[in-house]
Amino acid sequence: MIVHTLILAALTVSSGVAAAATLEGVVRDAAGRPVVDAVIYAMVPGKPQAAKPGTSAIVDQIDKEFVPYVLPVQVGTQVRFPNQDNIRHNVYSFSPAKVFSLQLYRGTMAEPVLFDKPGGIVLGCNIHDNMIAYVLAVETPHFGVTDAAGKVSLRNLAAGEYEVMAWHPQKQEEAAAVSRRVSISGTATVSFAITLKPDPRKKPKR
Amino acid sequence: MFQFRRFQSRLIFFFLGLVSLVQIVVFATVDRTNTRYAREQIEAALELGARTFNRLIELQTEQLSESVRILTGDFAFKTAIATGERDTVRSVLENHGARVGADVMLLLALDSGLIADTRDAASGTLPPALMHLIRVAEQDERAWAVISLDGQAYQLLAMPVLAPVPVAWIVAGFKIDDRLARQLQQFTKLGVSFFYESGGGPVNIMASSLPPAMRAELSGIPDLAVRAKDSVVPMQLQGEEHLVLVSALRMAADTTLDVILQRSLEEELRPFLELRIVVFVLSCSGLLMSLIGAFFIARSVTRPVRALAESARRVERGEYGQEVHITQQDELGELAGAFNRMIKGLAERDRVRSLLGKVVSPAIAEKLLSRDFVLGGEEREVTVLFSDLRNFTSLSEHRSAQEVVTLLNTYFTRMSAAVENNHGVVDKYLGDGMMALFGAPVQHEDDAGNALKAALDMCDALDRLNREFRARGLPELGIGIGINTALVVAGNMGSPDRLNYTVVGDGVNLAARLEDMTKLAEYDTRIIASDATIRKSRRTFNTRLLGEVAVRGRSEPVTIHAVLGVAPTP
Repeated sequence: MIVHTLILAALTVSSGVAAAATLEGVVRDAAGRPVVDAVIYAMVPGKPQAAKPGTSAIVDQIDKEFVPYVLPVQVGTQVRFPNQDNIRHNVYSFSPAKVFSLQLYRGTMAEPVLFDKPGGIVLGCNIHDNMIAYVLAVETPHFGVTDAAGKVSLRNLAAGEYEVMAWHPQKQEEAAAVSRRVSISGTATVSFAITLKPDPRKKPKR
Repeated sequence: MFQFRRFQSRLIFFFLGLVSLVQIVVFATVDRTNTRYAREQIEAALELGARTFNRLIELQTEQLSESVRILTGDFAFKTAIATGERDTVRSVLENHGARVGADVMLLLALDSGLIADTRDAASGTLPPALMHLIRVAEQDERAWAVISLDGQAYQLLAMPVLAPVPVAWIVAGFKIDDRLARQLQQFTKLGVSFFYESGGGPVNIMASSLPPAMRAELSGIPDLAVRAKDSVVPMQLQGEEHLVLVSALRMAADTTLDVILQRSLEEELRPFLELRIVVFVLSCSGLLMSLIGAFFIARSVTRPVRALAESARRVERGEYGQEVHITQQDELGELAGAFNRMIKGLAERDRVRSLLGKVVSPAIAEKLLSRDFVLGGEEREVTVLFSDLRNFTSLSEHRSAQEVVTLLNTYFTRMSAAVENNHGVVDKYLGDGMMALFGAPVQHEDDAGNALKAALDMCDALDRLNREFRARGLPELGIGIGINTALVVAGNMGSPDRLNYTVVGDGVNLAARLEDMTKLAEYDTRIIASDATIRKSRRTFNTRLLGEVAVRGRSEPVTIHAVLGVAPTP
């Protein structure tokens, strides 16, 4: 997570333009409650941007859970799945954007996975039904995940026109419904209201 | 034997007794039938329940073992097992065990060494029963048994993990606990208790759907497992009668799962108890209704009967005025109608009698009214008395008819009284004269004497009357009386429509002649009696012989006497 944030910061700085802008994203559910783990990303319309080769991110496996639960990456990012537990895990995906399976492994034995297509990918472990996580591959370096207050800030954007979109693993809306065209200069706030399906993760037994 | 004084009580007692008897018999029969039926039902339910229960356990076992089989066939599971790493294996056992709801999962090596166990504090050694189960599973590919692990009973299913040949034993365990017992109770409607066989001693219950108190009581019963084995046994549990059945379920090899199935007889009887209450209420209301009915029926009999009795008492007192009012249309109504007609008849007869008594003497009236009254006559000895009023013609002059009748009636009233007081009968009034009979229609002792006494009384009565007349300034009256005793013909004479009881004969005429003779101054007497009368009289009177006289129409002279008074008793 820390690593990933640093990379993100480096990216935004390097692509920085003289007039830096900030996008404040807010996601709430139908009842007006803040939505955590929602991804907000801003694309320059008509200009999909892949990550530079060598870009990587990490999804940890700690105490039979994937961490983080939601990971946004730029298309072209290599994601590693280090296993912090003393038991083996398997990581697999049948999502169209990336189908893969990492056989039961320990530690850092597994090879990194390249997410080369945009879209949401559901991750699972075939021997631990409760291990579920999501990777969202987007074609922009400008993205972030909402905190417990349902907020996220995308800093150091070049002022200009953006297509701002919200995504959540359990959102019911079509992509178009959670997409806004926003012209950003200085600080702009974009709010989304989304409807959520139930969380598939079972509550821990104990 | 107890006797009821009142018909009403008797009727009510009879009705109530009869209805009560019927109700009690019906009630007892229904009750007995119900109880027997309920018992049979419970027994049937228990036996059916036992079969259902066995089948249920079989089905569940089958389903569980099928689930476990599918589970062990999962490739990811096999992959995880294949790592042989204790923690990974345990985590996959937990994960996959959760999929089928297993409470415990064990992985045993082919040599029965424990590889992984989902229980946290599992003792290293495995119970021999589990080892035995694995031996059976080796033969039958799968096996199940109820085995206690660390004091908790589990239904354990054992089967191999195939890759593709057996690589390990998977043992899935499902708790035999109160929850399971209650679930089974829901299906079978029977109290379910699992216990360990303990060789004829008290049962050791491991799980039960019963409340703790009953569970404790059940486990305190010695030889329960033997007594109720495959047969329904009645048993008192917590003060209620239960029917209990012990059933043994075959498991792996020669082990069994023993279960106590039971049902409360009272619970089953509850609807019948309700029915019993309904029947009881019905019986009581039937009883009440028959009481009311009996009361009214009795009253419909006793009231008219009492009214009739009361009326009869009134008639007895001579009151004919009131009819009995009974509107009933039944036999009692008929009786009342007949009774009323009878009263009317009695009243009519009484009226006739009193009227007749005014016209004729009461004795004759009685004779006339009597049933044996016949037209005709008889010959009998009668003393005939004739009286005649003297000076009446002069008295009646210058007086109104009303006054004359009043005077005459006063006179006759006194004379009649004198006659009747001496058992005589006034036969008829002849103008100012009167004819009286003694010895007819009813014979009395000393009729002749009675006639003589009556004549003297008449004279006394006239004297008293004359004193009254004098006081009122009226002229005095004289009297002449003739008496004769003779055999005459007596009877009802006339036509059937109009009759007179009277006497006829020569002797009657003689009495009239004698009366006529009192007018003669030479005799100087008011009463002349024939010698026959004087002789017949049993009493002695002061008389004066007047001599023999020849009477018209008679060949022999008649000896006559003047009657002066009653002779003093010697």
